[in-house]
Amino acid sequence: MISYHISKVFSIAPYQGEMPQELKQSLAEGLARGALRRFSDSGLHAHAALRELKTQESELLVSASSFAESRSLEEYIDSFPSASPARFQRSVHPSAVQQARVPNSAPLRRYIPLAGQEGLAITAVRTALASNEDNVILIGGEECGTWSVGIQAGSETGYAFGLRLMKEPGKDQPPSLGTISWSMDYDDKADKDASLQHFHSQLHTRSSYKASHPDMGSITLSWNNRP
Amino acid sequence: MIRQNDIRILSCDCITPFGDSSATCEALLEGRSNVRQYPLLGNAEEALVPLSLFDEMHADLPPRWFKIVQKLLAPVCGPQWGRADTPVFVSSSNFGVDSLYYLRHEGREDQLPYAVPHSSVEQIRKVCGWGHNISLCSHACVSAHIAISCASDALASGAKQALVVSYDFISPFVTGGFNALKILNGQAPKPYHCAPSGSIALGEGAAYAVLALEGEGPTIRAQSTWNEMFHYTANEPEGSGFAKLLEPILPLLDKERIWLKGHGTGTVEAGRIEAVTLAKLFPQAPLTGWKGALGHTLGSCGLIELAIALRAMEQGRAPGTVASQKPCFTENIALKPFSTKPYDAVLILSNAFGGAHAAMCVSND
Repeated sequence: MISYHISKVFSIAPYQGEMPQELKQSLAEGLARGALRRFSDSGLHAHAALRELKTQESELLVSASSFAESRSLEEYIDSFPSASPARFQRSVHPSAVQQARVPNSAPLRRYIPLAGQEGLAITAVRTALASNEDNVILIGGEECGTWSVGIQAGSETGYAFGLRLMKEPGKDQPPSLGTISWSMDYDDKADKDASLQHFHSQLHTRSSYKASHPDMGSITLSWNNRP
Repeated sequence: MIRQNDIRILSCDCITPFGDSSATCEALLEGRSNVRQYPLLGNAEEALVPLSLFDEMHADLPPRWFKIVQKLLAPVCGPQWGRADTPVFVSSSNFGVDSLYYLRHEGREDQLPYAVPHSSVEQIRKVCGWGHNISLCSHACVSAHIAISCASDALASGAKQALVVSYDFISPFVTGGFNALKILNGQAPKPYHCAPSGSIALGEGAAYAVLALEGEGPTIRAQSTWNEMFHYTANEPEGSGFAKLLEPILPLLDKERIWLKGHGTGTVEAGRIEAVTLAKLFPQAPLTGWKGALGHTLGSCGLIELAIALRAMEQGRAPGTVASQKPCFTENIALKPFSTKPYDAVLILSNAFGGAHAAMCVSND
């Protein structure tokens, strides 16, 4: 089993359809005036998460999303036959993090963008923890699609989360809020829902939980002080 | 990052329009290119752009890539893969996005099972009989390198073996986008050729590798990544991205005994930056690039070109930069095939949107 300490949490409540204006304004904090219109919803999610978690260039960043840039993808496909270069560029899978980092020329040594659906929470946590890096930032979420939702090619729910993880809490590190673990072993008594959205709902409410899949192993989320 | 463990490549193969990795390596050694001119979005009246395809772009069921990938993966089918200790890592920059395009524009609802990354991979999983432990990595044109690094981490944390698979095929979705960015035009690519303008060709293919910490086979000695985040589609113009990429692994490399398989798409600025930076860091090393023959196979290029590089090292001759010509940006560009015998290892580099860079050093023992 591999365990990391959670030193900071970012989470926004699930929403459906258009992102609420109030939420959009709060996520956009720190952006240059006029920059907001260049951001997709998932770009805003990433911007806010990475700002809140104070991501450094030497830290591993893992991001996870089943549909990623749903709206940009839809808009790009609908721009044919005069394909839009901006929408194409924004539809590429890791675009959300690029939107958050490029305006500040903020490099990253190591960045792992993950897709997937079944067991994506386990995959994302395992990827973060198996890295053996001292500090890891794990972010995830979805933006709401429009026409893609009806054909299960986009998410009907928007949400986002971020975790700052550390291998060992040092004396100069913030106190541990909890731990997150991955083990190769299957636990048939654990939660069977290892989706990213369910992981987010547990994290958002600071609930402890264990999810397991026979082929993927188990993840455990536990908190030191529940609110 | 620097991997502390050497990673053994127990098997590795690819499929391109030339055939498997042996046939592809042979074609490149003969200086053949599969790049041809095709209508931009697949319709006869459109402008022609350079592509390397298995066949013309069209909607099919299953999608035209599916049987090609299935054929490639025949040696790694079976329920032993995709379990807790035998994870599978699938990378692509496209997955099945061609199906989403055809669904939307041609009403092809039959494409839906392939239209998003996880459903596309699920079709492969089912036909290969794998378990469910499959990670999907998608980081544009460095996707395959990311999948290999994730697989390496999984091995270091207890997996017995890891299977890495990558596939990228071309559709109007991709050609339209690169054309809109003005880097896919009518010119055929001439990687590292010093000229006022350049172009890429897009290509398609797939590859796999079985990795382990122990066993017989070539060895991945070092891996590194760097994400510049300087510009959405361009590199930092002074080449700092390539230098930062290689900084952590340079001490591990014997500069005198290495050859370079560069990214080399055919665009002028990126080619110049790459060639100049590599010539400074490795003045003795021949630099070759194969996208003039294969096109740019996008997120899969790192794994496809690894398979070709392994075949080249096995037979002792590496293909030159097919379809390019003098003058080149630097003296060390290899236009013709060369012997790999004076070298112990190859450094394989890839480059992607956002100034993402990836490299791995692979030796033949």
